[in-house]
Amino acid sequence: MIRYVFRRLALMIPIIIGVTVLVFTIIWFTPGDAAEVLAGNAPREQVEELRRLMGLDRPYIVQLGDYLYNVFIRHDFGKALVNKTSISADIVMRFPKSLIFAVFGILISVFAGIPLGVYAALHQNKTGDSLATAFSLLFVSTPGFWLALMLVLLFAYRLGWLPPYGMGGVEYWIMPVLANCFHGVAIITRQTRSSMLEVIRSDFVVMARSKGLSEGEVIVRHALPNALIPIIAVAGMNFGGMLGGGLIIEKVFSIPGIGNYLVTAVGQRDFTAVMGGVIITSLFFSLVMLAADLGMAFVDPRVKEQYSTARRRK
Amino acid sequence: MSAIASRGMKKPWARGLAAVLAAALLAGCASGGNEGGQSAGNQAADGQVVSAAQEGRRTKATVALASAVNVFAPYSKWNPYLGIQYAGVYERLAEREQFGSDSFQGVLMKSWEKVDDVTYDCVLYDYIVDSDGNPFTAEDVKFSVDKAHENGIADSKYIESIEVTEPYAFTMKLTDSGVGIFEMVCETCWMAARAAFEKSEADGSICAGTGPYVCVEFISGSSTQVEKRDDYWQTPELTAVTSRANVDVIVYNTVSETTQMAISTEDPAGTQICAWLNESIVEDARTIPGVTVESKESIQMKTIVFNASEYSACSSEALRKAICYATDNDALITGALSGIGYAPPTFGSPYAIGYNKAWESGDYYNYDIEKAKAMLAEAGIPEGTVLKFYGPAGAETEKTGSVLASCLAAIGLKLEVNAVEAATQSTYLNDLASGWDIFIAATTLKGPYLIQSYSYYCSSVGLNNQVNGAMWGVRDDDFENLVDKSNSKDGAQADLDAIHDYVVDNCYVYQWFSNYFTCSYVDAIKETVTNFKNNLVVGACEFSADYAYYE
Amino acid sequence: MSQDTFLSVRGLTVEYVTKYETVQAVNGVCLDLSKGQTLGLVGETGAGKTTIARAVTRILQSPPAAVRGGEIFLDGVDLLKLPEREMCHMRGNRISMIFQDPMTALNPVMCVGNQIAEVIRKHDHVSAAAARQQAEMSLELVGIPAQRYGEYPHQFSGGMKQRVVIAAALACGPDLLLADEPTTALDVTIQAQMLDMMHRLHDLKETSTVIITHDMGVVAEMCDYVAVIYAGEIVEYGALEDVFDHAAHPYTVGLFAAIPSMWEDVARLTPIPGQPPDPTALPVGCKFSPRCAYMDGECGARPVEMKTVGPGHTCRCLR
Repeated sequence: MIRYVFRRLALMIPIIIGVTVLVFTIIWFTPGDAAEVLAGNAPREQVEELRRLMGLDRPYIVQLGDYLYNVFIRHDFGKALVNKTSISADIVMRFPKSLIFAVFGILISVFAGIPLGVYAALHQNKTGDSLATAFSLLFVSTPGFWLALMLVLLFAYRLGWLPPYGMGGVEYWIMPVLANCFHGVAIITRQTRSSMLEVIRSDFVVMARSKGLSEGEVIVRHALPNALIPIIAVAGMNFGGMLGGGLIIEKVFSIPGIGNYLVTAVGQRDFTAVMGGVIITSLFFSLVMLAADLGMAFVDPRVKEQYSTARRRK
Repeated sequence: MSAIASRGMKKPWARGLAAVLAAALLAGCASGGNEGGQSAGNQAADGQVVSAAQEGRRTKATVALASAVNVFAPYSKWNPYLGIQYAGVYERLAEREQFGSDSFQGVLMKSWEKVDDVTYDCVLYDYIVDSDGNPFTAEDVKFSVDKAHENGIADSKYIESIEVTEPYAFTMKLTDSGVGIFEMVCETCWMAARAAFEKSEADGSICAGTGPYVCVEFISGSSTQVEKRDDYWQTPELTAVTSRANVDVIVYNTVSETTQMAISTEDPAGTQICAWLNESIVEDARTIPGVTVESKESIQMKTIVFNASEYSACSSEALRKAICYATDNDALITGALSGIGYAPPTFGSPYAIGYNKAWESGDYYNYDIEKAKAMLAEAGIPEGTVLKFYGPAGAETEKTGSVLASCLAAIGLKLEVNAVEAATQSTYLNDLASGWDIFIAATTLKGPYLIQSYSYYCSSVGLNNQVNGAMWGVRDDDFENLVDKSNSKDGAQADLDAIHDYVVDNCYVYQWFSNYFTCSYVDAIKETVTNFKNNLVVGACEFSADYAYYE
Repeated sequence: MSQDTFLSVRGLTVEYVTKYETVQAVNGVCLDLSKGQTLGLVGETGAGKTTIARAVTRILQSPPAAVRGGEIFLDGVDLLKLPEREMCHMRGNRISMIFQDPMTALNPVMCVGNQIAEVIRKHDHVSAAAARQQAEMSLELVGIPAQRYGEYPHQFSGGMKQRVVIAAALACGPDLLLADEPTTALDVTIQAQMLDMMHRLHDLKETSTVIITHDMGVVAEMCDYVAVIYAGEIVEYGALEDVFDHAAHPYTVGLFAAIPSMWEDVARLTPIPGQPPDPTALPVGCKFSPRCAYMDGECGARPVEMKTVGPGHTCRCLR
């Protein structure tokens, strides 16, 4: 199992390098570059001069190689082309905020979604199920920013319980995190419901009941762990969505996160900033997927065995 | 109890706890600590100061700004919101007093003397001290200019060199002898002491400035807090208007979402000033009790630039005039700007030195469909011709494009609206054959003198390179000569009039509309003050005696 | 039919109700079992045997199944009227079930030892360590080394899984064991081992057992009494020898006839002609009558009662 973890971690390196090269190439081929953005409406020679100063006129391979060398060997993300700020400083400031969104979003999705899904599965085709299904449909269709604004109007404006925007203590985070995670709750509820419905018909659940365990014990100890595997996979993928999708919430609540940073950087063709953001995001996403896989192995020993013996079988 | 199940239950809780702790730590780091401090309150020349001496509390102004400031360092690419936040923290060598004023006053410079067309001898005040305690000398001026060069700050390129002659004196050499260049560079280059900048680079703190405010907290993209310092170096009589500090603490919050801004305007107790309001919420803001809504003209003119080169139908002067006559400025302002805007009466900005009010009496292609049709017939352009319209990506381009399209449809022309991103704009526009006929340029005042704007936008050093000529793609030597003459020390008002008439008659560009910058503020603020670029200077605003918002 | 009957089922009727139809699975079944005895419940697939067993432990899936009537007395207590909480006490403790398919009867993510230990902990209220010890003993009892406590079901073969199921069922020493086709999913050699083991356990623990099967060989090995089910009704009931040697009901006769003889060389098997009736539309009178060679007009007219054809041997037939 340890070997499996190391193997996955080692695999992350070529993945991240691959992502870096891919995104770099895409930005390279997109028309416009940072020199134009910086120089604004300057005459052509000025823009060319600025381009030369910034090193943007060198051939593709040279720039790519230079960038890869800087990031992976010297561990220097460099400076943003437009703002001239240190990218690692920017990321250290901004990324944790997006990460908090995503982490808390996932936690709430899981802790709210699973019970709701279990409830819906147990009361299948009765009112409880219809209600839960209606809720998840509602949550999944509601646009995030609309929900965010409604929350602001209610809690900040009408009731005055929470601050409408900004950074600070826990009360500044409540609404943004809530607005971000509704979608996730809906998805996990649906997935839990369908997994549970499948599992609850299994023979071993009937056997568990016949052993005299109460319904609650049967659900929690026997049904749920078996239903968890697809839920974990869905939650892992949803995390990636939350990491990137926090952009709109960041805008509404004026929280300086990585989403905003990336979008501005793309518009400005600030490729060092974009690459910095993309690398850190893909790194974390890979880690989360690894955690999800490990979670699945933890829950299901058959998966664990698969991971441990995969090498040996060859 | 099944061992596995109980382990399975505990793990999410442990993770959750760790995450909560991490969040609490981060939140703790994010909110900065304020040291208390009594401010004695200083008197500015006009005596409108709100002092906390009465109750021992510091006055505070909370400002909501519609766009984020991502960097707080003196040598950054300028944007209006940056200008608002930096005001009072970093100072410049000299500048015009306020928006619309003609008098040019020294801020850091005590005096200057013109030696020849491109050389100026300048003397600094010798008692300038920044908020870190560093004295500001001529060496620091040189350092600041070098840094501006390094960062590619646009206007600094006109400074060829700074030569330090004495501890507090230096000689500035310019690259261009044009009118008003010296004033322009003095106005736009922020200054900071080398020691302060190097310290901020070393320990990651905010660079100290020479102004009366100190930045105590900066959360990039979210909020900034500046506080008045007791030891501002300048005497009250000599303090520049924009360096006044009439309130003790200013907090700038970024509120980029329009709905959030609307909510902020309705809560004057929480946010005293909101700038700048999106046009759609201005009308509602006017109905809020206790709040004043004020619109000031922007220094940016949205100008229609025609592609007068051979590649476009707009090479025909009659067609250009037809289009101008067909544009209904009022419809545009009502349709695209919700009524918050104005149509300039003539070509040129009224806030620049050299603007001649006499120009306004002429007809600046006022809306006249009949004349438009007549001009179109004269141009011989067939009905149904499609013209291509380009503008910067955004809602405004879409709206103005559709208004223009309907105006042109009234005379039988079709318009195709395209939006381009800032990063690709010059690629399109520099290539006259790429197919554009009309594009919208946001032309800003370049310096204090009108000729500077004219020469920047209307001559060969404008948007397009020298091969193509002016912004509109056609090189005209007579016109170039006019501009050069006006830009030299022999230039007279008559030359400026000539340029004006020439552009209007040929209709190469047409100043179409301009936005208003609207801000809303509590009634306890008697008057807002804006600097020469029409950026709000919160510290210089006049606060009435019953301004009662404290820390 | 007297005081020392341990299990007594009276008139049990169970239906499966869906939107489209109602399946009459069990129709007025009556059974008796004395303490320490083994009853074999024989019948075709779909006759209603599993339903009876699950009805006794009350683990029927409540929609769509519905118990329409009857009583089940265990040691004098009507199980159908017990509140759920008490029923939970019963299950695993006094009544246990062994399931048909060992491959799916165990929870794949829980180790086998824990699956046994949890029954012990639930009912005997002992510490985890003590439960583990007892579970290990149970494993040894069914022939699985105690070191395999922490292994998972997928690491065991079918036969061993079934042993685990049996161990779990017997862990708390139940008074009544319901074995639902315990050997059907296993191959013949394993079957033999399983039956051996069940004999041993039976001798050890004196459990009353109901074995549901369609394998007459198993019945012959294990049971003291036999009940034959057809279309949700008991059609014949009696001691092992009585039913086997003197089968009374035509269906029972047909069943025995269908077993190929070991000594004769037969080209074709002799099945019972016809098909079992559609459980949504059962015939009114004798349910077997459409296939019965001895049918006459009266058989199909009205429901037939159980008639005694010998000491302790009853049959539901008009003949």
